Amino acid sequence: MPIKVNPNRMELLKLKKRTVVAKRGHKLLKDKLDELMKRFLDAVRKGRSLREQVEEKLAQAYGLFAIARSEVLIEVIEEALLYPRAKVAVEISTRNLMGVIVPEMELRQEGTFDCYSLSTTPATLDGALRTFNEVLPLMIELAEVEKTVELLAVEIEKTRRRVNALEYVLIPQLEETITFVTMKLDEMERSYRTQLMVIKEMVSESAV
Amino acid sequence: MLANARSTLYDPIKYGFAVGRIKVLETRLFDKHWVDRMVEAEDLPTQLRILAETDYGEFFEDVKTLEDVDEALHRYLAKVYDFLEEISPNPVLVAFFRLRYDFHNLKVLLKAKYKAEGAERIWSRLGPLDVEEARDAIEAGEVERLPKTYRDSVREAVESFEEEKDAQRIDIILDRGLFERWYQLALSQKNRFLSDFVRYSIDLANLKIFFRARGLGREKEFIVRSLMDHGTLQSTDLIALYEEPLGKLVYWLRDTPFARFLKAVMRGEDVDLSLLDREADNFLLAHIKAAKLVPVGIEPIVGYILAKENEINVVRVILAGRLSGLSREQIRGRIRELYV
Repeated sequence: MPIKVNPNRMELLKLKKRTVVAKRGHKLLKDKLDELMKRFLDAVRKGRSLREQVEEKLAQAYGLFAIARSEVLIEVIEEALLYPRAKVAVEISTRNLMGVIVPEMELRQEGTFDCYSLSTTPATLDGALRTFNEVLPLMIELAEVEKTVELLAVEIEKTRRRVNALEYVLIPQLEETITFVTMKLDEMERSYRTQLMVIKEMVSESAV
Repeated sequence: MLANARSTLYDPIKYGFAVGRIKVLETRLFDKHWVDRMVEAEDLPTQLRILAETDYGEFFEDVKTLEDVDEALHRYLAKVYDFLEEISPNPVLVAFFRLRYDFHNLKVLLKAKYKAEGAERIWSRLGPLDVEEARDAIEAGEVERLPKTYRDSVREAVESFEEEKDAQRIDIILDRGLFERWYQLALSQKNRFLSDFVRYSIDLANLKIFFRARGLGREKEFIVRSLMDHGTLQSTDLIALYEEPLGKLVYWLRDTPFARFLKAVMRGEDVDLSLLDREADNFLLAHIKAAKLVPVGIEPIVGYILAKENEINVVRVILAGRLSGLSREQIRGRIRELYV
């Protein structure tokens, strides 16, 4: 459906300018979409391999922990972990990825995890906690990657909607309107010329 | 010599009744066949049906989760201790084994105080110490209100924590306190079997610290402060070997009873930490099996207590292992030897 405008040269010029801008915008957005897709797929791939690693390690850690837990009274394990020495903090900053603000997480860890008696707790506890300790940075990285994927997906969706709106709505509309205005102007031109010709004839007739 | 003669004369009178009862109960301890049935059992309800045939049954009627298993075993253990207290003519014996729960509680109370959070749910009710009173004393910082047995260790732990702010020191100091007290109690009984048991326990605890600290990459200073005295192995020698290759330790232990233990936990050039606890328990069990040969005295009573603790451990490994989704092979790999 063409846009409602007054069919005059001024509007035609404006419309043509808008079409050029829309086409340039469309190209830029399309480039952005392609790049976003590329980053998105990279992130998805990285996320998948990280998730596999995390799940494997977690299963291992829980297995070891289950063994440790089954070997002594549960109170012993709980007592061992009552006052941890390791302090963990996650620092979250942001960075701009193709116009998308994505989080950057950094894990800060102080102190070691072995904060318990080495003679009364089961030795398997060391292995379980070591594995948990190894998996923690991976989990933080995974959280960062998965959040990035989520934000990129939203941005891709938005950009794609814009690209489609430009490609299938705005640009065709503008082009249609331009055609309409051009045709209207041509029509006016023709009718003006016909009028002139008629007037000219009438004038020459009266002169005779 | 005189002591021997005296015990030969008096032990049958003093311990005869208790040992008689224990000899009967010993026949009801679980054997390999029973353990196999439990491990092979399809699921928890089947395992519980097998347990229902034994005196565990009444405690396991409504067990569904891992927490229930812990709770039921806790109650069963309490019953075992109560029964033994009732029949044992020598109150020191059961008190000896209950001591570790007091030290556990003291660790919990101290850590909870410094962490400023309540930890009632992990208090153990198996020790003779009144936990509420101990909590009030510790919270108020009045260590002298605690029974004499624990006072020095708790005071040392408090001082050390306040200086270093390291909760592991609480564990280390109280562990040392526990083993020291065990050693003193064993000495007071003038019984070779019991004092050997304590000294071997200290050795095994020291070896565990040694291997685990190596595995964790702790500095030498750590084991200097952690190792306990009174073992058959000199802690100074262990410290000297800490940074040496493991081969030297193997060589050093070649003529001790620990040579076999070491062989069992070594995988290639290194120690497999996952085998450490099982082999340590097996080592102690091999020692206490000698108690079966003593017709009358404190040995059969001590042997029975340890056998029962070991059995409860086996039941826990089987039930908790299955509930946590461990495979049959994994569970089998964790099961200790049996007394019978």
